Amino acid sequence: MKHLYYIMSLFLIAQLAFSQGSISGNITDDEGVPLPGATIVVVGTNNGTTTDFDGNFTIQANVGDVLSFSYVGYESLNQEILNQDQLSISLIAANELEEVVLTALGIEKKKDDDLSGTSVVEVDQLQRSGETGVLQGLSGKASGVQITRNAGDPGSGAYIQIRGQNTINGDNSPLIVLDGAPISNANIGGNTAGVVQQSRLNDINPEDIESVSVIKGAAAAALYGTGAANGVLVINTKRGSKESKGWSFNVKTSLSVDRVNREWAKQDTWGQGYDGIWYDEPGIGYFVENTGFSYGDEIALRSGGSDVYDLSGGYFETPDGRQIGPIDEKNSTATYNQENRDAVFGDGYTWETNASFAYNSENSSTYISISNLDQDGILKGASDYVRNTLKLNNDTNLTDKLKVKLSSTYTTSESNRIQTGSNLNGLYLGYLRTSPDFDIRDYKGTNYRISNGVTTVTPNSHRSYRRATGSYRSFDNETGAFSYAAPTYNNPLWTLNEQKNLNTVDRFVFSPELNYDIDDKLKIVARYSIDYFQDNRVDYWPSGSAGDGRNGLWGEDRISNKINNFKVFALGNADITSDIVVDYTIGYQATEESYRRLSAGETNFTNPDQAFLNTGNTTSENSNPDSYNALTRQNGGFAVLDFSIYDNLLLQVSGRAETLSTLPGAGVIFYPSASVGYKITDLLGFDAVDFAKVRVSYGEVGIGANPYATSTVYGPGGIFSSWGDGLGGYLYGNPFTQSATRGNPDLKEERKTEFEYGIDLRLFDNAITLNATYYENETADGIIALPIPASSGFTSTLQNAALISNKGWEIDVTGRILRTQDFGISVNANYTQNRNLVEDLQGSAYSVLSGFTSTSSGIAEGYPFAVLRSGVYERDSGGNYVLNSNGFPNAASEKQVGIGDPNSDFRAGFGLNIYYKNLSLTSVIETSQGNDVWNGTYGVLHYFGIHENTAVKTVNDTGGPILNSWGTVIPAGATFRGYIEDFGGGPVAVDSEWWTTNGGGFGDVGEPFIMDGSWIKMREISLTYDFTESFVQDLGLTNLSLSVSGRNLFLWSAVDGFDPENNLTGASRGRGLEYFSNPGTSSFLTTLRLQF
Amino acid sequence: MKFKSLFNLIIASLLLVNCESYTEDLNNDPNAFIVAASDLLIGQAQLTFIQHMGSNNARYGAVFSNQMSGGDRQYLTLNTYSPNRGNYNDMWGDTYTQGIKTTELILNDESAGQTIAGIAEILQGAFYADMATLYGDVPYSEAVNPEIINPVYDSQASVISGGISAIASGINKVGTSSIAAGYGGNRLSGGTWAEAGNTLAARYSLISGDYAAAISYANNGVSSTANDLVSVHGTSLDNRNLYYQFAIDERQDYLVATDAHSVNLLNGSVARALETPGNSEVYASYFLNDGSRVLLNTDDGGRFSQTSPMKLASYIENQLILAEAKFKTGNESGALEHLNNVRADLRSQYDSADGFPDSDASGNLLLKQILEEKYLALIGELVTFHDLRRTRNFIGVPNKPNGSTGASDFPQRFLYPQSELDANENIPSPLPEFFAPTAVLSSY
Repeated sequence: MKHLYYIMSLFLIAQLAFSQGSISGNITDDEGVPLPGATIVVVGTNNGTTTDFDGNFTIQANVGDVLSFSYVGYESLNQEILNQDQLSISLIAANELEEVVLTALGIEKKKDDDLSGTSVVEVDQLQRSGETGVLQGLSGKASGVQITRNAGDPGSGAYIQIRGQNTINGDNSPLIVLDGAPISNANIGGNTAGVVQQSRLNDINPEDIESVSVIKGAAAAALYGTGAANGVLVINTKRGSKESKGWSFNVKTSLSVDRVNREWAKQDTWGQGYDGIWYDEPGIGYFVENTGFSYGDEIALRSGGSDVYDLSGGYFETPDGRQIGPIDEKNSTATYNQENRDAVFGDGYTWETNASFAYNSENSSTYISISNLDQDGILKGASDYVRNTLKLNNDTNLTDKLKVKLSSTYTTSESNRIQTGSNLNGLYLGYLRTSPDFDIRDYKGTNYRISNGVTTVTPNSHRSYRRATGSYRSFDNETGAFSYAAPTYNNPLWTLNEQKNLNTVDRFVFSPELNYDIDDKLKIVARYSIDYFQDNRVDYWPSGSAGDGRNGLWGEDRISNKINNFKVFALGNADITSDIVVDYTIGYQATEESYRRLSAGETNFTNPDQAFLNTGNTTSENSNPDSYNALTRQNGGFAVLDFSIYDNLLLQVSGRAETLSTLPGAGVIFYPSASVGYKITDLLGFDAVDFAKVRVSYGEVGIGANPYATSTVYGPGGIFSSWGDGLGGYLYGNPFTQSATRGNPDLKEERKTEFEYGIDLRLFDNAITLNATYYENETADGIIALPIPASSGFTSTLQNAALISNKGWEIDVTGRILRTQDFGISVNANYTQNRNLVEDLQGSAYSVLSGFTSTSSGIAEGYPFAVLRSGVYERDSGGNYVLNSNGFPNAASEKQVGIGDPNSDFRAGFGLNIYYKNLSLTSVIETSQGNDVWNGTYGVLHYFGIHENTAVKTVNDTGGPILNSWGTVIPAGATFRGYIEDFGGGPVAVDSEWWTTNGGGFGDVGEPFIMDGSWIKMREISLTYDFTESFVQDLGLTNLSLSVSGRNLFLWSAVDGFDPENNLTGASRGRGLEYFSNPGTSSFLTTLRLQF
Repeated sequence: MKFKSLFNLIIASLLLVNCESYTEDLNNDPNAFIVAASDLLIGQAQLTFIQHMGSNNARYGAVFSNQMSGGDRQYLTLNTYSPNRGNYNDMWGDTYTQGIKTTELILNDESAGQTIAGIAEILQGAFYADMATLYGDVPYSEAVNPEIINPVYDSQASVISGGISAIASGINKVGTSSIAAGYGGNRLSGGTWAEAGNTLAARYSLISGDYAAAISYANNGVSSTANDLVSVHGTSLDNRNLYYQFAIDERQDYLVATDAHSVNLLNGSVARALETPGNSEVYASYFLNDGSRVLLNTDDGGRFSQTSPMKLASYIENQLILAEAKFKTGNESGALEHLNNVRADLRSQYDSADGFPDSDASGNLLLKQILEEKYLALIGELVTFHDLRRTRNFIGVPNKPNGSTGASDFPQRFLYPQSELDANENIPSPLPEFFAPTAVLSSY
């Protein structure tokens, strides 16, 4: 007691001595390296400062005050001022020790205590890439996660896949939980034609994100039950200031320059026309106007000079008055590949500006941000994306026990998109097929047509290499409408500049939450959230467009989607004994999703002379409304128990019971999970091992059915062939027909069960961390529209028939190689290997996911998900080609499943971070190996004689006559366009006859066009300079940094012509298809960040 | 035990929320119907009939029969007779699910009237008979039965005869109902359903080699060109003539007639069996020259213009059925009379007094004249493909790749589709070859 009094007296004296005084100190890391810019705050006041460049600080404070020391990436430390005049503070690096993950409920949990293979992607990693979409920013940052881009178009979406595909009919996106609110990541559309679609996760401003946890395993996601089978992305946004009190203001501005990252090479030696062999003169082609083929004459051998036009029957007049008629004599030796390319591609620019304001007071914290993204794509035309976001987050303590937490976001975006893919109006389809001797730049003008002395004038005439004198029209007195003759394919500049594909999206997410602390061991959380978006799409193809746009086409889709969610849960903990502690969660959740689409479409414009984006420009039979509504609900209760036993043994069990409106026959569905982990650090007893944990878990999650899959229905009929011709029921008295898919009232949920085994290690003073997970999962009762013989009256019946398995490894490693005050190097790597197998389809042989009749991506028993099927050459039992009488292989009449596998053998990412003084360099390299792709474009460019491989001239040096595939004789010594090949029956001439039949892209055989699409990408490389403190302070700022980054700068891949990371059918289940899809991009970014 | 009581409270409140009622009765599709009267369904069966006879089946038939030529992309490969099962998925599937099943729904509808049931029977009979003619053995006795997922394949002969019986039964129900009054709407036009049904029954009787039955049905068949059963087309994107849609709207250049045998017969480069000065007018109505290519005449007034009707059962076909059947049963004078009826009809169609002189031939020359007249008068109609196969290419149409004129030098059937091979365990094994004649068409 005396001692205590003595000590207290000393304090008193000290306090007197230091009252109103100042205290100085120095802050370093655990290795003695000074920490510049660390924050020191007197707790309970607004009084704070930061360390200088050498880690020194001085602050006004009194004895007895508590100082809080903090520095990003380090554990904060509170220390009371005693009788010191100089403080030496050492902070411990927290980035490994205190790494946290978010649980499925969005609650932080120490990674050391986590029993799942959850990966966390931190905000700076996401932002460094400068990607406009959150999903794209995740590329290469975490194991087990695959991101595939739809294309390089502005605002384009992406596909995210965690631990392999496991559902055929259900939603294939992970569940997205934003600040506790389930939100939509819909990818509406996405087919072999149309425009490149967005993913609704694009609406989130990456700058607002604090962290993303990727919950991969079933056990960790089991709390969400149905809908969580593809994993969960838990995204938390920024809340309040990092300072303990006060405000901060951040501004970021960046400019990105985008370029096309890989292009097709086209031949420029042979002109538009037919190959002469069709007319008995091997090798010598001749010019034919308007044909799709580039098998014509050798351009260099032409006479030179201008082409001679025959203007007697009419002509196309360019805006500057030049007249272009049908070509009488093709003299010009000019080629236009470069000019045409430069008219289509240019530099794209993306400007991004973000401003955020954060404020903390005694009882509240607030975060407000506003951002603008303005992206002008690499295509010279209407290809752009503008996104504005507004965000407000607020946390307020109403009382000691009651806290209100509000998260809200508003996003509005506008985009102009470009037609792509297998589409006569598609950009690449027209661009790549255009013959080298055709100049696309005169794409729009006026057509004059002279018939019987009468001249008909067509304004806005569309000129392409398939109609070199432009589209023209005639007026049909009987129907009172214009009828157009149009090019077979669009001129790419018509696609870019005259067609419109407008898209506007408005979206808000609003989620208030109440937290009530009953006592220090129990609290209740109640959350409501609404996620609403309105997605409006307008397509306008002026009259004179190719295909269905010949007489004009307009359409508008208005899509709205609303997710209402209510969740209430209690979080508590209790000590069962002094060594056994349990955290528990119990709750209830109800979710309702409502989707509505209202569409209108018109064809055959009455007045085609003006871009008119509304109804009322055609007769009633050519005007079609359409709509679709769906309402689904899901509700259930859940509980989690987390036991910690003698500190080292962790045990978690959870369960969820729920009902779904889409599965009325399934009753109450229950999903259990259990995980156990053991911290073996002490058991191992090695000095080098700082931390070690092993873990095992088992979990079940599910996938629901699409709405209304339980009944067989009737609807308006009509019938169309797969070639596009057909009879629209709406024009023929609207007869009814029964659906070709048979409904199934007994459908139940798809159930995924997973075992997961993992180890988490930290070694050598946390210099190395390793997280490794092995998992095996199975999705049983997968719902599939099981193909049944059409002769049964239905083409498919919905059944719980599929069994799909995935197993694989996920490994994440980080290593700190060197860390001194001025210089440091660290690396990180991740490795993902997933083996997918469709184990059982109850006898169904093959079912298409997406693609074409000729080649498609689908599912088949005994093959991986999305396996490719294509026509093949017929082979005998010895594997040799079965040849026809001309010595060329025959097509087999049956297609072969498994001709390619679009799934990667493995994927890996490698990151390198180096800093030197104020300069830091980071880079990420990502690779995918062993993924096959069907290069449909390659095959078709051969067909048309435009691929550079077809520009070869060969002399028949075999000493005897050889045949081409049509049987035409090529005499010894003759030169032909093509090359000599031996398919097993002696040398033959591969030439246009082969490329235009079963050796090219329109033949029955896709086998030669299945290629290895493996790639390695320099995903990003970024150099950042943090300006010195003195410089920054002179400007009145807290921080200032400038960075220069490159994204996707290098691509190594053996595949020809396109970025194999893109997928034609976007975020659909079908993978590995390429067909005239819009190209990918690479980018240079400059980013400036200010903080004050 | 504050903790325990709260826990109980939460459990209790969860139970109060009736989980199941929240999700009940929400899965009734607001976007579709669960009932549809037969009066609504018959139209779909009729559209499918037009599609079966005039869409890709007819185009493939025309290329295989060398009436037309594949000119671009996949159709160039088709021109080489490359087999590709995948291409038949839709053709097979549409006829079964939209044609045969739709008529079956009507036939199972007890409240359906006599007329509508009769029309459904005629259409279903024609669908079955034609599918068997195209593919050989096809599902019939167990087809479109909701209880049976994998229907067995019935013999080609039994399916064709079953089809003919169904048509005959339908004829007995439709009475004198006209096409227009008999649900033809703006889809079909012509004389009466009974006339059309008799011509269809005659067509499949001829295919099965039953000449007597063919004569008997054809005697009550389509009585004049004005009464031909034809499709009706308009100028909207989705109601144009199907050849026009294919050649102009959807697949420019795919389907042409360059080097086709029909072109060579009509332009005189191959001599016709029956001298016909009016060939040039026929040529002009079917074809257009475009430089080195011959295109289908899709201009206004051409046979393939957007509003041109497609013939489904015609007077000319009926007369030529009679001519051939009578010839085969030894009645050459009767055969000649019917051939000359057709020549008279052509004279009036083309308004050409001298263009189509009568024949006075006999013997095999007469048969060749009859069959060649049919080959040229029915350009673009699916029945031509049947005729060439069942007559073992009597008129000597050269094949596409090398011009040979053998009886089986062109495809002898449509291939069972990949979809059926994938799903139906009862598909015949081994699969028949593309060039192997079907049983019925090679039985006489």
